[in-house]
Amino acid sequence: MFPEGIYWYLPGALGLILVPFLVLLWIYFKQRTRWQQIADTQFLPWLQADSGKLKLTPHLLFLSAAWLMFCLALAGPRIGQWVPPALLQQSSTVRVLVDFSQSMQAIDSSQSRIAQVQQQLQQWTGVLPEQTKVGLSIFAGQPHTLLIPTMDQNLLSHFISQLSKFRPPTNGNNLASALENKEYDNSHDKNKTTSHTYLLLFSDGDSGKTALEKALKRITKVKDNYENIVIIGVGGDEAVSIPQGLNRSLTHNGVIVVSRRHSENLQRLAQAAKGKYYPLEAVNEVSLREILNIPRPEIKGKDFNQVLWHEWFYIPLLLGGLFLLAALRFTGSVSKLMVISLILLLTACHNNQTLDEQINNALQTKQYQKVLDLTQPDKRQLLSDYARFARGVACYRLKDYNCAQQVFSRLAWHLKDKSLQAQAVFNLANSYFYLGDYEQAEVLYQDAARRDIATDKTAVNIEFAHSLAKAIRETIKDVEITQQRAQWRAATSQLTEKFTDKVADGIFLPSFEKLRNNPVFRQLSVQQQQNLLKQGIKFQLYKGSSSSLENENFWVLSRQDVQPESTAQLFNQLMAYETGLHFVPDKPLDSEGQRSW
Amino acid sequence: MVNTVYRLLSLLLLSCFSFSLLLILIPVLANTALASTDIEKNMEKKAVLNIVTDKTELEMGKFLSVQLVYFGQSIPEPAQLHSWNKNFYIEDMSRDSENLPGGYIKTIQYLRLYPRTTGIKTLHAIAQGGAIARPVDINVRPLIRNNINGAPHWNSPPKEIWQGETIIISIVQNLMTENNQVKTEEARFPGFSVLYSWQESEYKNGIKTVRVNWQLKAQNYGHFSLDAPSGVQRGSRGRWRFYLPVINITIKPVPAYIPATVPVAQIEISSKLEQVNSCPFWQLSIKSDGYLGEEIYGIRSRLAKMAQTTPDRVKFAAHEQLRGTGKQSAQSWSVAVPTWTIPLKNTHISINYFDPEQGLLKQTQIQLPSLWYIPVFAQYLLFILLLLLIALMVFYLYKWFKSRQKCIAFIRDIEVCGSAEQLRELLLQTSGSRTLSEWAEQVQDRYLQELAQSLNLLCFNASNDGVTNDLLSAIKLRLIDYYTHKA
Repeated sequence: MFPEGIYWYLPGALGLILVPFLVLLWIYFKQRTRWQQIADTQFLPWLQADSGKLKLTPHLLFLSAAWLMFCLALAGPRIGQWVPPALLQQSSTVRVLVDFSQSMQAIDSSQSRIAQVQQQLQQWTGVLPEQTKVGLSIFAGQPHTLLIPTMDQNLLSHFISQLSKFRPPTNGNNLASALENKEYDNSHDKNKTTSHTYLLLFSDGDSGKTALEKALKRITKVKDNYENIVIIGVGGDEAVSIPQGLNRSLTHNGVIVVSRRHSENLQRLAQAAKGKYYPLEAVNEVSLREILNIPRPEIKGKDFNQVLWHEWFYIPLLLGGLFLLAALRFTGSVSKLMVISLILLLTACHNNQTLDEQINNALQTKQYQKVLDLTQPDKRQLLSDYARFARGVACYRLKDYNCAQQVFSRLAWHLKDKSLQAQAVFNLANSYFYLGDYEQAEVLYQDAARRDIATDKTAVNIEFAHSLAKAIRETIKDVEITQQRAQWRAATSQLTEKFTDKVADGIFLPSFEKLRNNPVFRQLSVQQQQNLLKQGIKFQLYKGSSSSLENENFWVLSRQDVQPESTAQLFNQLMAYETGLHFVPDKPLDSEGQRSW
Repeated sequence: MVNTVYRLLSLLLLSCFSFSLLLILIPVLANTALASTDIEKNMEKKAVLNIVTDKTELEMGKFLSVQLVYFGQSIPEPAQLHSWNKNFYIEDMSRDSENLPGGYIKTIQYLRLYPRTTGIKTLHAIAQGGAIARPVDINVRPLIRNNINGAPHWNSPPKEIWQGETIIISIVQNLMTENNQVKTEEARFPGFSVLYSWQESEYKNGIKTVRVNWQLKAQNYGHFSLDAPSGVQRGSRGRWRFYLPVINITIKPVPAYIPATVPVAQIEISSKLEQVNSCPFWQLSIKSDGYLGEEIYGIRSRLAKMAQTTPDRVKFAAHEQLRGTGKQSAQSWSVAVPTWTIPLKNTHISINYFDPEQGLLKQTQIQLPSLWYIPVFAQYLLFILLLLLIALMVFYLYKWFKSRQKCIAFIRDIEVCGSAEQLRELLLQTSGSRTLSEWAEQVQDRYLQELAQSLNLLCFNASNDGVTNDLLSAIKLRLIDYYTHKA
């Protein structure tokens, strides 16, 4: 009934709110008895006319409001400013366990499943229940504890902000091992202080049969270690491919692997654990306390004098005074005017500007970062098509072509408006162009041309992308030939200069005449030309790599020699050692006996 | 004296001659000295490479034994033979090394080369360990037996396809004798996954031809070179192994916004209704000659929405069927029909697919079978309502029929009335009224009220003349007319 954390000095005073209603009720019954004494019931409608009816005048409304406020003020609302720890002995421990199998990298909507989990955890970290410790663990082929339970919100926020950068060294879905964590096994320790442990598991439920059966057996055994187990299902209901590197999908025996949220598996786990299962979209607006059913620490009446309070009684007192003044001194048309003014004031204070208008304003004034902030993927508000499109445009303008590619890709598929869809396809083509995938860009420009995007835009771009793609291919071929020449030269190195000069043709120089003749290419500066070619070559050489191009070092095969610059990178190295590997693998290793996603 | 002069002159001539000879010979001797110095230097470096072949002419299907013989001071790296790859398939057999006196090492690399095509083929010059081997020309003859060319060839492979598309590539080979057999090794094609391979044979112009087919699915886009696996034709007269030239295929990317599970192939869809444990299930079947893979995008959620259930309750199964043209993949989807389904409900399902022939994303629709499916209690309720309806209809029908019969009988009685009094009696008896005025008020019809007045006058008119009779007939007619219309 009352908001969280509010206590009352005199809760009994709240009952006074009902007094006017009781009085009215008494008056009504008394009048009715008197009327019945005067005349028969059947004649009363003619006699009473409009005399007994209560009219809701503004005067009466103000009076009622004033009475309500005075009663609230008398009850003395207060919030605890400082509560002695001794009063809040009962603490809670929440263990957050996140599935980091490869299927969690799938992108169902606009972000990967891991990113969705990260977003939800960030939201909950902002308003953690009091006296609650939170620990963080992840699992893939092996489980890894990233953070032991702590009440330090800053530390927790820091780890959660890096969540999407953690890379377990092994592939798999070993939930069973992750559940077997002796830190949380307090079944044999009867001397521990009353601390309730909760388990919060984020997973898409996409695990092999064997892994699921093992997890079911394990969770049945460990369920008694937890006060409550809640499983949050992540992902969509439609099967999507799992990305591997740039524009590649995970394959298994030549077949593209697809993944979706398996709610039935998660429900089985929840049932086995005698816990609850919720899809992620259902818990968006719910607090962590409600999800896990963590009891609120209560301050008992006898301990009130030990607590430092924020008293809030003056607010209802002031309001009551205002309403009383309005009721007594200002009546009739003046009070009506006051009501209207109040409504107008409230309306004026309310920000009538819709989200789309804000986005439009930000776009017009080139505040692209603001557009990104306004259109942050958030299930609290469903973004309109325009808002999503604007997000794509903002990413594009900020040269975040990966983001633009993701946004426009989804828009091009889902939009119903044909015109907007065509524009999304065209913008997607541009994004791929700047990412260096000229072949994809060419196909998309052709698609855009079929969708009635202006020919003057598409024809030139098609030709340009085609020329660049061809130039890249020829360049790579030339590099291969150069390598062969270099090998030849190395094989002949023992000959005298005379002979080698006669034999060696020298380094093969690339020549792309067609590209040089392209009018658009000619308009670019040398630096711009080189950047375009470099981007294309980089894409061709590194497509299929699981690492991001920005972090890739051209000449180092392994990241072992790279110093970790962030917590996630440090943990990525530590996790490898924890698993028993004596090196840090560039790509996660498949675990024997486990499915790799 | 003369002799002395002669001798001096001779000597002078000889000297001049020798000197001029020397002048001519010095550069030659110098070069020779240099060359011998070079050779000495080479001999000091001890690097010589030779390509030694067992023959310079061979037939398709046979191999050429090649030895790369190297003399040097150390064992060199293996030779780079990529320039030979275009014309020959290279099988690296073994390497031998032998220490020679003087600190030299003789290394022999044994190779087998299988020609890919016929004609004059060159084993280009190669370099190894500081030495260069000269090129060697080899004449490759076609394989003809019984006037039949037994060498295989590619059968019009495609040059450009779409990513995710399924294609069939074939190698065709004539059998030189009917009893010969063709066998190929397991194939691996970069950029493709091999779905299925099979052989078929046919007779044409008296020649038996074998076609080896591979059904491939293009996995990633790019430019790929396909190297066919080796094929062997063997029979009683011999055994021939073939390697074909590499073919290049370009795999174009499908527009990136299309989900990976949208099939890149033509699809056939059908739907039907099935009863499982007395519950109706919608069953959707999708077939394609292309590879369908895992769940086609969008079907699960659309079926779930249609069936008003969760996506988990939609059952899916994938299977394959072998046909003459390769594997045909199929998917079957099944979902329980929701209760309260009526035929008027929209049961269209649309499915997206990428048409590789036109290079466009298309959509096809199918309607799930419509039916009546309501809960049992509702069925009973409807049945009871129907019965009640029928009963009511029968009841009202009966009533109407009865009243019509009554009406007809009444009309007959009016006809047989001979006098005004009889008519009056009839009317009063039928309606249960005491007077004609009361009767008129009961029927509440102005027309009948006028008739009643006329009849009243007639009844109380003592005369029995023709006018009275005419009037009575008129009244009777008007009454009959009135009641006939009412019936």
